[in-house]
Amino acid sequence: MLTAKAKEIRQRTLEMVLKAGAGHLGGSFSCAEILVTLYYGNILRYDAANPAWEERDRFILSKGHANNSLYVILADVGFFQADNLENYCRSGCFLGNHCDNTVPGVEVITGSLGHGLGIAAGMALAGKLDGRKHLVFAVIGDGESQEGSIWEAAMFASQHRLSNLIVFLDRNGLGSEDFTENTAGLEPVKDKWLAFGWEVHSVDGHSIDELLAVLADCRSRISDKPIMIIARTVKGKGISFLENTPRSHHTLPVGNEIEIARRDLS
Amino acid sequence: MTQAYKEARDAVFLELFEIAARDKNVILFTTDTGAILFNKFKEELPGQFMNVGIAEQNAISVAAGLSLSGKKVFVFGISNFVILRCIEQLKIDICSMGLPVTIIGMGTGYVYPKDGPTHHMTDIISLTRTIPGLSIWSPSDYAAIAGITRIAYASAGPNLIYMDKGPFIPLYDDGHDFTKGLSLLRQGSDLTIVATGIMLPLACQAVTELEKRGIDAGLVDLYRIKPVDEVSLLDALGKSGSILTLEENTIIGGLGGLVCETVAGRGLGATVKRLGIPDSYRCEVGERNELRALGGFDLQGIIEAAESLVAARKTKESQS
Repeated sequence: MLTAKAKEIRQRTLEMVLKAGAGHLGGSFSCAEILVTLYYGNILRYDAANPAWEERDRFILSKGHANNSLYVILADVGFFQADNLENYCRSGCFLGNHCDNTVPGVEVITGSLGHGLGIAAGMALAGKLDGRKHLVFAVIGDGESQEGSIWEAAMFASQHRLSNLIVFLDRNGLGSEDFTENTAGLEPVKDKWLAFGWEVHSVDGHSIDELLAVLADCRSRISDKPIMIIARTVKGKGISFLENTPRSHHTLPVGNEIEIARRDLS
Repeated sequence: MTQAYKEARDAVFLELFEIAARDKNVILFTTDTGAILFNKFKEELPGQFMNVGIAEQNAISVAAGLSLSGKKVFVFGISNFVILRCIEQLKIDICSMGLPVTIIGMGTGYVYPKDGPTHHMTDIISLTRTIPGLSIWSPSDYAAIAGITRIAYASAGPNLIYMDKGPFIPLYDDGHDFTKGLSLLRQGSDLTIVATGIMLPLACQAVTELEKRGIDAGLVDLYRIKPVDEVSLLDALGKSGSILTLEENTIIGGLGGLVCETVAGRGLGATVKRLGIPDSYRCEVGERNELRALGGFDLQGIIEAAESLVAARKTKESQS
């Protein structure tokens, strides 16, 4: 069921960015199953009719360029009318090429990398201080993890025992232009997060079953550690000629690639 | 609470303690920069005070997250590190979302004169005043620091208090209304000096010295850098047509630039002499006033610039 939803989200995302002539398919598709699991898997608590509901879980897409699929999902679950997606990235539309908190359902402006995790940590700290039960979820990128501010936030979250903070690392292996291991290598990334005092899990980021399993006890667990879920993913997942290629970051299908992409996702 | 303070840190942190004691949503962060008064927070308001370590960018981002959850956060640190290093977090995480977070930057200009370019805060006015939505304060005495702290708390948006340890001379009564953003401290017919923050004591000294030399200088304290009430500023500048600006900040895009933009933007003719830190780094070790002298904005430099302005105007008038 959720696998089918992920497929649908990818198809609709492709059509949206093709119409707009703008987008970041690679990073949007690598985290598609993560987003679908959160929004459709009965994980994230939200009320699309009341985006400011106080008891909602908070979700921050720290790799804000991956907003393409998120916007399709937010429209699909009712935060705003789906026909707005037709005007994505067009003059006058409120849906731009990075996350913007003027969009219903989006908590925070993101797009400059390395900011979202610290903001999520602040939200988690506020929840702890006020004794609230909601959780704070975030998705960070692996290219983003080359930013020093990510590791400042990592230290802060474990120092303050932010067990209500659950973070996915979308480990697609690529930054904007090259593989992370060719520029400022992250490995052994699991050991790094363990050393920073987090509870660390490693999953296939395209397996809904594995994602649901790792989140199963996220509200009931007894721990004082924040959670890092390293999701092994493929950048551009689903479109054969974009998968695991640097060009998938912000290059869209052109010419006969468009039909190949549609066929790949069908 | 309104009381007479004699130390800058007392003025900000005693005020803040009183505020935080009344409002549990007020949180004070220090980025491992100390103040004796922090012990009072630790002991009496432990849940509202945190030393978040030497990680200023994260401090600003965390403050944004707290603020989005209903907290009012004050972040304290040495100005270069908590402002200059975090300019993007300040712009994006705080100001682009209009969050009520206040940054208290300790130290302006050459407050740490012997610590070199890493600690010389030469450009913060210029850089931060380009950030939309940020209110920027440059208090000029202890009452101003306390009053502006109260304003920042009551504010619905982001504030930056760019404060100095002093010494200041008392300019304002306790309880003075600082929402105006500027004060005309003295009217003068020959020229008007516009100064901000830690330069006020020196500006007052210069006005007295100029009077002895037969020059009638006005003095404006622009303690709010942004937003500027342009009408009030132009009123305060008077009609002499000679303006001297004084700041311990680069003369590029700072207070002097602000005054030039305001005057020229209104189509007014005036000669503006900008005194402040030249476009430079200072590795020379010296006292604060010695570094000012190297940049030509110590007392002697101010007097010479003022005399030059007045002489130029008289020459121009005699030729017309």
